[in-house]
Amino acid sequence: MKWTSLLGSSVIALCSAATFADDLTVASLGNLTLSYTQVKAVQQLPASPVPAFVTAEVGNTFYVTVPETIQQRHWLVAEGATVTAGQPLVLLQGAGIHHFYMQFDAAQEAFILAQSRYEHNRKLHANGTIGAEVWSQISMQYHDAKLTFEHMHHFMELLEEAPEQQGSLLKAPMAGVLRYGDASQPLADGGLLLGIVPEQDIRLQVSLPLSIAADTSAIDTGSCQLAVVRRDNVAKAGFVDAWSATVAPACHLTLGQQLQVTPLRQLQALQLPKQSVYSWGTANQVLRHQGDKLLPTTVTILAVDGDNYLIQSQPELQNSEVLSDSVAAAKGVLLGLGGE
Amino acid sequence: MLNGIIRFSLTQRLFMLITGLILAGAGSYAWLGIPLDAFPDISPTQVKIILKAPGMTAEEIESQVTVPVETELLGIPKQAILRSTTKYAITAITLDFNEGTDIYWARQQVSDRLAAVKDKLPANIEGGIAPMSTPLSEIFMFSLENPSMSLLERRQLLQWQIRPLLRTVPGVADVNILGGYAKTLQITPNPVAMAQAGISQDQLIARINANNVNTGAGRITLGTDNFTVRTEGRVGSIDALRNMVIISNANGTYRLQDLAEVEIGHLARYGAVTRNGSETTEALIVALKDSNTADVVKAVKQKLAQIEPTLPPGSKLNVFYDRANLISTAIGTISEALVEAVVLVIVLLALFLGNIRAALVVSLALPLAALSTFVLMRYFHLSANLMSLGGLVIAIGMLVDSSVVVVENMVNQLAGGQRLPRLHLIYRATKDVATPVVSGTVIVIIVFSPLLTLSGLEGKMFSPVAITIVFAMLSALLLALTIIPVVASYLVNEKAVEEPKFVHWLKHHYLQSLEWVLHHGKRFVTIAGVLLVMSFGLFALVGKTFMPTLDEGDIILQLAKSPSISLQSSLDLDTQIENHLLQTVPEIRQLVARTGADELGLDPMGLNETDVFLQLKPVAEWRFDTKEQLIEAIRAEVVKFPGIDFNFTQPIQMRVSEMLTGSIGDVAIKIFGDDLAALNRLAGQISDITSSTTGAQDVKMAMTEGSPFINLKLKDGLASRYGMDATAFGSYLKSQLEGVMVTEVIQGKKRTPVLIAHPNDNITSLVQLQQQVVQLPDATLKPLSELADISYQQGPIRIDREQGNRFAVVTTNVSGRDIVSFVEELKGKLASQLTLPSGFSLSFGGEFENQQRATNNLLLVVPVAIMLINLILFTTFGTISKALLILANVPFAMMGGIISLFLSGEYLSVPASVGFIALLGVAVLNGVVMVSYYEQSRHMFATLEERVKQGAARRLRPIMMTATTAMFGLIPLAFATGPGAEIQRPLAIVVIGGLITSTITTLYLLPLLYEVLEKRK
Repeated sequence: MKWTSLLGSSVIALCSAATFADDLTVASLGNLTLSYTQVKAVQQLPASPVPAFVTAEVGNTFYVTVPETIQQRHWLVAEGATVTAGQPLVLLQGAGIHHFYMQFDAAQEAFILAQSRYEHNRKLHANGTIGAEVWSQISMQYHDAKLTFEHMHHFMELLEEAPEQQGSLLKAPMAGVLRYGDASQPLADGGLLLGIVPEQDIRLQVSLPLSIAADTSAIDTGSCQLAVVRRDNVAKAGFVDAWSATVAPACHLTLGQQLQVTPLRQLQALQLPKQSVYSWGTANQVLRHQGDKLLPTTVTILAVDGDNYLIQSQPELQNSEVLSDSVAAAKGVLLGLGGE
Repeated sequence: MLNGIIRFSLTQRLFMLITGLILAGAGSYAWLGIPLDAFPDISPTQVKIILKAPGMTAEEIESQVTVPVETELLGIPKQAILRSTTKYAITAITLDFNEGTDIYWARQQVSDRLAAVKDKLPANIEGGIAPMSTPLSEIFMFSLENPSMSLLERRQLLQWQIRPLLRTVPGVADVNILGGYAKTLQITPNPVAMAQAGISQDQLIARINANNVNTGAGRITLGTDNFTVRTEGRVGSIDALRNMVIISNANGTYRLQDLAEVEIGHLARYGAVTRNGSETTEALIVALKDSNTADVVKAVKQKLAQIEPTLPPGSKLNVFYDRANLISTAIGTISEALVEAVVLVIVLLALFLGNIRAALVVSLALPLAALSTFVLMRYFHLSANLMSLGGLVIAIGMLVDSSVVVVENMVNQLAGGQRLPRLHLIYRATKDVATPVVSGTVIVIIVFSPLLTLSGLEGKMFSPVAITIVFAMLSALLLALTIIPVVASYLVNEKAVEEPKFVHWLKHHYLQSLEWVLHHGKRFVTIAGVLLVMSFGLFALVGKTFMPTLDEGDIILQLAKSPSISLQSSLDLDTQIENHLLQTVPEIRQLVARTGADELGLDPMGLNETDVFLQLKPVAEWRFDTKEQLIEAIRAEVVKFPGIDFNFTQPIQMRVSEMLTGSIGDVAIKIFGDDLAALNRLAGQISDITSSTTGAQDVKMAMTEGSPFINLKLKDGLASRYGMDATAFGSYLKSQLEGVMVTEVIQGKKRTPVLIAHPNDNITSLVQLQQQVVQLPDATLKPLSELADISYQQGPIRIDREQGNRFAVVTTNVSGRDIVSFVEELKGKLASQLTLPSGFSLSFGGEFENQQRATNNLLLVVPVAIMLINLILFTTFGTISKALLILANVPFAMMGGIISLFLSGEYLSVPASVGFIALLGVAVLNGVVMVSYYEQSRHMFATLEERVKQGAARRLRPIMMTATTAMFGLIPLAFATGPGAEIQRPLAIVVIGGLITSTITTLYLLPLLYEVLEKRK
């Protein structure tokens, strides 16, 4: 199509030379299909997707550690599941759990004994029968025994014997989302068995590009929108971490999940169809419909929302309509194309 | 030798008759085997290289691909011109070789050079040497319609089921698939999942490639048998691809579907096809150079008839272009003219000879000469087309001349009452005229020989005409001396000598008028002279063109929209116009439009360019009488869609225009130089200077300056900290926009590319591009705006090069004055007003170049031909004065040609010039017939006046016979309509007009001048 190179190239020069195109009349567009779209004001602009993690804020997790080495753990509830307080979570088995019961009994007996001795000697100390040094020793032994017993008692409260299964069931201390401790190694005395994350503490941690971090007000996961409640003031490799409000169950997100989300920016903008925008030199323009005229108007694109562009708000475009059909042909008219 | 041939023929009559029958059979057989096409192959030996570089700008391709390839190709011997056109993502490099260069040798040379340079080209370059085709190669087009199938499915069907079968048809060079969506398996990586798995995109690609492979491991011997061992990894389905294990580590096993979306997608679209306003898919059959087009089309149709029942239910192959139609119409037009010419000539012979037997004998020369010509055409690989068969029609009138002379002399001898054996008399009669008959034929051959010296487009078009005429004349000569006397010996009797009453009446009135002329010589010469001068005055008023436009029967409407338009917007506008034309122009049967580039890249159009193929209803159903009126009606509708440039052309015309790159318009001024800005500035100045030159019309300027593009420059200091270099960055971005081919999935004969790509509308604004998250080589993520500076820049949309140099071109048509003087004036103005920077140069071309080349050729060769004719005449008559007397007839023949051109409104063109050349021969032959008789009858009449009058009267019949047979032989061409007629019509009109005047001057002026000449002795 050699002939087109002649016209094509010459109009490009025209386009690059001119900053603003002249007005058009509607009549000058002949039989071209013309339709117009009302420009809409919008408050929120979607930005390009960014990575996010479903995570819990550090500090509110209820951690359960074991007082004795546990040989076997049989989980009754999947990690990440939401549990209620008192719900059996894990069957603990092995010699360690028997040792624990023995230790508990021993601790209980030691505590009763220490308590009895403490009560008995308190009167003696009160009437001066025993000296302060002896009383101090007895008191210390009593409190040690009490602390040891209470400590074991708290854990014991979570346990429920399961003789048929030759072990004990550990019950949830509170409602929340269950997280397993490290399952790859034997659980030694003092080791982390599990954690219960309060549901209200599960949030999205999102890495926002610096350029949009300040005005991002919400996050769209595809299934729900979450408000941004907190953001860091520390940049990490061009991103800033921000946290959403609590992830609702309706969002169908799983703790630890990594996903892409769309940041929603809080800006005043105008929405118009993509097909109404054409390039003119290095600018973008639309044809604003005014009476029998179409006025080229330069616009700045801020974001893309499906089949629409969100553009910077400008007074002359508010409540007006723009040409949204045959725009390329209208541009051709502006370029001087047309004819044989 | 001539006597020996005649003697042998007459003594071996049965043998000659059998030879005649064999000749007729061989001719018929040859006709069936001659390659048929509408037009001769006008392309030079040409090799085209198409290289695709997806995603690259024109300037990048030029520097990285076009220039290295051109540099390598420039060393190839026998090359005529090297041209290239570089656009976004594609470069087309065309190498024309000298005339006569073997195409296979040429392709081998180019292939070798291309292989040598291919390693130096960027890694993602695709393509190579284009199929061996010509502008006439697009012979058959059809769309695949099936409402229940998606465009992707239809394209798959065309690509993998129909195309392989059609490629088995002999003569098919390739099958170009257009429109729809080319299926891919699209992998869209999830950067978050990838980052979590700790795998980068390059690693992902490497893992996919490493897994999707089968290898041969060798063989093992099991007992007495051998077993081949292979490892299997190649995936055969999208599910297998999804389940391919990419990485397995402590976190778990990541399959492809864990790291990316794997869906059915499509390649980035560079074009589309619509039919009656809806998108569809199309196949275009490209024929091999030198193949028999008619046979190829026939075989393609047979193959399609086999394929169609095997297609999914509801599928329909909608043929919208079939070259066979054009061939049959064009050949039909010319064949009809041929038959009509033969009939007219036979009627004329019967009328003048007054004896049906003699007429039949002479007429026998026509079919036998035609059949002999077919034998020679086949032997010399000349195709039967509009031009070659046109040559036969032009020759028809002259083919009988030799036989007429022989038979007429024969009947005169037989009527002489000499007591000699009949066969001896026939031998003597034939022998007596053998020398003048041979001289006459040689003169005609010499007259047409200048056509063989034409080069370029005009040479390709008219060489077949000249060759066919030479073949036919030689055949007719041989027949006149061999088979015709033999047949005459059986059929011609003494009755044939009786002059018909019609001729007697004619002769009576001729003698009366000749007597008047001889007595009013001065007045007659004055009138003739004035008419001659006036006719040369008319010459200036006759319109001039290089070549008439051949009517191919079909119309292509070319649309050009805003250069930076997107494919979808382009299609939207096309659809509007298509629907409007369908509603308002009832002559249109269907519209098939092609937007953008084709699959093979044979026609790398931009997305703003559309060729709308208009298939028309039969002319009988039109509201208009002519195609021009129909085009005017279409034009009136298209102008209602402003902002879109349009142009009308035809399928072959369009391809020929492309072949003649840079020379559209009467004059094309090319400015060569490296700096694009300077080229554009100079083109602007030249355009202004050209416009100010008298006669300039439609001045157009093509520049290489282009459109804006988005430029991303890596912040290299920052990016390198993350291990990102320009190559990796480019590759990553390509996967986001265009897609990066990773591997292929092979399912039977289907090969589906696997691409790392994103949905088409992934990024639709600069802002989105800035915010795009980039996965770095260490698998971490970063916003694109942090890695690169993004800006708009201007760059060339298209770069044209010739002989390794960039050029811009200014074209103009010339109106109201002679092109040569226009070019001279323009050259002078440019020399004085334009300052060319160092390294820049100008060249002039265009149709002016063709015209000048043709004119120069003819100006050199025609005088040589006239000198040779003069030599033959001098040899025949022994005096230079007699030879010049005969040549004096030539200007008056030209006069008739000019007057007829003016009256008919036809333009002076190459075919009209060929008509003038043909006139030269006929005019000379008529003069020879007259003057030779005067010389022979020198002692038969008492006075010079008696000799002049009676001699002229006796030669009236042969002169009228040769003139009218030549004239009436061309009348069917002059009045023919239909494809192809327009190129032969000016020729026929010139010859008919010229024959009228030259016959008058032969019959009146020649006797007058002969008398004057003899009296001076």
